[in-house]
Amino acid sequence: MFMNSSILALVLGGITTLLLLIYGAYFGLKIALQWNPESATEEQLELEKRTYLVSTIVNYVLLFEILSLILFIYTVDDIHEIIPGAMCATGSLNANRFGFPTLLVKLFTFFLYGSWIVLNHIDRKAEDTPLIKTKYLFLLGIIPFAVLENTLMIAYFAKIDPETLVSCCGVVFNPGGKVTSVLSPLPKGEMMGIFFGGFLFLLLLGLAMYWRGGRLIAYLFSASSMAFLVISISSIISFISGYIYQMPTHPCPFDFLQREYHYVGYPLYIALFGGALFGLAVGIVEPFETRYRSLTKAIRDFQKKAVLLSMAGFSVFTSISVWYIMRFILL
Amino acid sequence: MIELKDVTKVYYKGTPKEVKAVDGISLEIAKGEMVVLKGPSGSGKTTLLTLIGCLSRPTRGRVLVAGKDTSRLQEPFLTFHRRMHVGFVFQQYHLIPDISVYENILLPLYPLDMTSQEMEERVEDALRKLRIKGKEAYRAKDLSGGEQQRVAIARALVTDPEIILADEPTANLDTHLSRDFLKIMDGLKEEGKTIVIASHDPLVYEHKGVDRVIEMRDGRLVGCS
Amino acid sequence: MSKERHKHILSFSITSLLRRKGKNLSIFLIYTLMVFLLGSVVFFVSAIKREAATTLKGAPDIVVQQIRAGRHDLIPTEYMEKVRTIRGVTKVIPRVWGYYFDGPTQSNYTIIGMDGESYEAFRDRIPFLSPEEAPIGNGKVLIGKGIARSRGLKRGGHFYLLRSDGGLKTFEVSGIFSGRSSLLTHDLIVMSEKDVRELFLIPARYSIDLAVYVRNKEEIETIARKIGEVLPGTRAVIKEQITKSYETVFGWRSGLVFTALLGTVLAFAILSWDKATGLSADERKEIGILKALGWRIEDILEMKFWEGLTISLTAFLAGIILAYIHIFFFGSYLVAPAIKGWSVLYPPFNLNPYMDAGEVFMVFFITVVPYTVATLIPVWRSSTIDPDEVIRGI
Repeated sequence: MFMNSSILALVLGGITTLLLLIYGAYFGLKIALQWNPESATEEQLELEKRTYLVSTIVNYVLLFEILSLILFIYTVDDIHEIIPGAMCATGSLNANRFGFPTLLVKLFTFFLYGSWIVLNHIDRKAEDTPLIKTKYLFLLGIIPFAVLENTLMIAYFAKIDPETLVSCCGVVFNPGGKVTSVLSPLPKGEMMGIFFGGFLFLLLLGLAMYWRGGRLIAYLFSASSMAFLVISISSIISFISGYIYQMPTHPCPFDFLQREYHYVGYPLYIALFGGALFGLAVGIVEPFETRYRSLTKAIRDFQKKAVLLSMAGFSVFTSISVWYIMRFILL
Repeated sequence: MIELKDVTKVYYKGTPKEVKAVDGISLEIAKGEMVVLKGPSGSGKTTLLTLIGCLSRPTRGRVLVAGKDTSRLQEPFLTFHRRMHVGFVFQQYHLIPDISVYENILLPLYPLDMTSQEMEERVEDALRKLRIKGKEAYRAKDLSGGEQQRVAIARALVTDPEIILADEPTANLDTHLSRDFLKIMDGLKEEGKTIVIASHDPLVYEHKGVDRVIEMRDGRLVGCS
Repeated sequence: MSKERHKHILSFSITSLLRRKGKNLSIFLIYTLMVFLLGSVVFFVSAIKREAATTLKGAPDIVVQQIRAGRHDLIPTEYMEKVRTIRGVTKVIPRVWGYYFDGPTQSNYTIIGMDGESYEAFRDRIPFLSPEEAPIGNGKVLIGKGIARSRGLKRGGHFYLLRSDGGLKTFEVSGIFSGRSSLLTHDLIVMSEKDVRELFLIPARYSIDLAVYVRNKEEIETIARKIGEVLPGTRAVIKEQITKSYETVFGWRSGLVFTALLGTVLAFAILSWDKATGLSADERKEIGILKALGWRIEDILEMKFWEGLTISLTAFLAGIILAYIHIFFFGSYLVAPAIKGWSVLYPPFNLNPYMDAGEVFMVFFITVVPYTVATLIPVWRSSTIDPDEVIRGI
């Protein structure tokens, strides 16, 4: 067990957020079960007010989740000094088998909260709020992941052993390393091809979605943006980070979040994950477009905005990456 | 413009405090009409006004305002509808005392997503119309009763609603100022606005511009003239 | 996306905050105080850690200690010859040093004996060291700023220390370390080896420990193991172990202080909750009026969000700036006693100013999240006030 102030902050923040979410989901369940738009009883009016409580809670939970992700990365990076062999966050996350799963589940819940807020946002546009049951049951379904996230995180910090040697990014991400086989199986040149090809494909798809729309394109765009998220992370490991560090042999996806690299990782990741979330949202709302006529217009308008935001996010990410590549080549 | 069908409003339902403030009222008010709701205090006038003004929803029955059934609308849509169609002049004026006249009139415009310039024009218009130009920098609490009411009217008009509702508008005014108020209402009627005033002041319900006087008692309509 | 609306509601929120100065000022002050305390702890700990890291940069790669009866004992100086023969070892320096407890000032001095080669190594390896040109030996010594201050000593002044046999030994101050840094020199006295031996009565053939420097850092562990084989009964301590225990100790210490401060955070959260719940009649009425004028629940929520954000950000900035000034320009008076834990002379008087975004963010996280959570439900309650209640004068 290792403790310092930021670990304490993370754990307590995580538990607080979880309790808040459970509190919200409890009312969500109540709303889902007792909702009756035809009634004008005090109970119904109270439920109506509670919907605001729940959505306010989830909005803040998403905000806290983003903050806690940032703090988590910072903390993990900070404690590498006590873990033998660790030179950055990668090594710290490798300190036991809970490290990377914690990060992955954290990212996953980020998308869950984001999706919920999107559904809620859409639903509120229609006078009959047709998604009311769907969204509150969905909220209930998020709880297990929030519990899992916090359990993994606590297990991770509890099980850190300052005596065990770990392998860091050099080993983990370099050819022949553990993660390589999953995330960057391809040589750099081909990876670059896939990255830029994928980006162009996504842009074209996005434009088609914006001008024409359609069910197939919506799902395709949504799936592609998630795929592009994975491609982008592989690309960061494979070549983008190398250009940022101006050191091709240093494939760490965390170091550039630090002061030495002007915190460039933050705009990079925020743009990437923002783009992915809006891309995902396009597909999330699609099934309801025809099912509920009161939502059709709201969903179409939202999808147009989301596609633009998604493309903007990915473009910012790609532009920053390209800028670093150009700088490396030109200087 | 306004249509009520068998409307009932119960407060504190299921508790010992339960009151039936409005009891099975049906009523129609046409566009451009000026109507007075008359009756002793506690007769349900204010409650009826809040129902017409989309400030609350009926326990039973239907309320149609500007062509829309508002009785089962959820809060944001109800409020949205109110914003678009109704201006309210409250009995106590309900100005925010510590901010300026100008800001008080601005309040209904804040959530409307207008540019600052548009908002300014609207407020200037209202100030001019109500002849309170020059007072805009005063704090609301430093004004006289009559002036406060003008500000309250200006605030109700600033969103350019089709329906104006006023609750006991002359209760705190002397005869002279009350006449002034009615003159303003006449002007609005000429512009084609629908006006509903709750009042038990003879000066108001005997005013010649009034098209109809509806008498209420214990939450029911007892007479119409 | 509608932008105008947000702008207008924001500006209204700020004027409405200013209208209720009394109520908001108290929350602002307590908020600031909390950020200040937490910020001070975090800045202080990280500054100390950085100083320690700098100091350790100059420390030997391996320190060899004699162990007798499970305790650290004097080591025969001749052992250095055996260590020197191990491949990869560049230099071995026998060290003579010790701790001296000074009764009158209730503090611990670190006393190091140096001569020729070791003095040079010391000077080379410690970047912050900048004593005035001053000789040591024959009772002439260099002292740290902390000692100079507590004893009121100047250059050329005289003082005495108690020998281990109870006799007095007089010293003359020939130089004082500059106050710029650090953990190492603050309570340090540097004197000649001979003087140290006289003070602590260390026999000539013995030293306190051996400092070993290694060419290839990757070989440190192997060499340490070999030393253990060549010299049974000794212990070889690797620098990295010291770094790590430093990290852990400071981690725990700051963690403990932090835990104590969490009580404050909790109290603050309860207070914010209370303040947010206790809406005055005026405020209730105002919200009712706004709602009657066409503000939706989400508009009120947004207004309250801006209010909270304004308070949070201003209090946070104020607290962080105060903490920064406190730690780096006013000697950390308030938090030092809680964290330092050893010599009364610590901490070094001036820590080098430094701010890390991650640390600032952490303080932000631990203060803003509780505040937001505590005010969330009261804020929601106030946003759902029925306008007709206010209008009907209930």
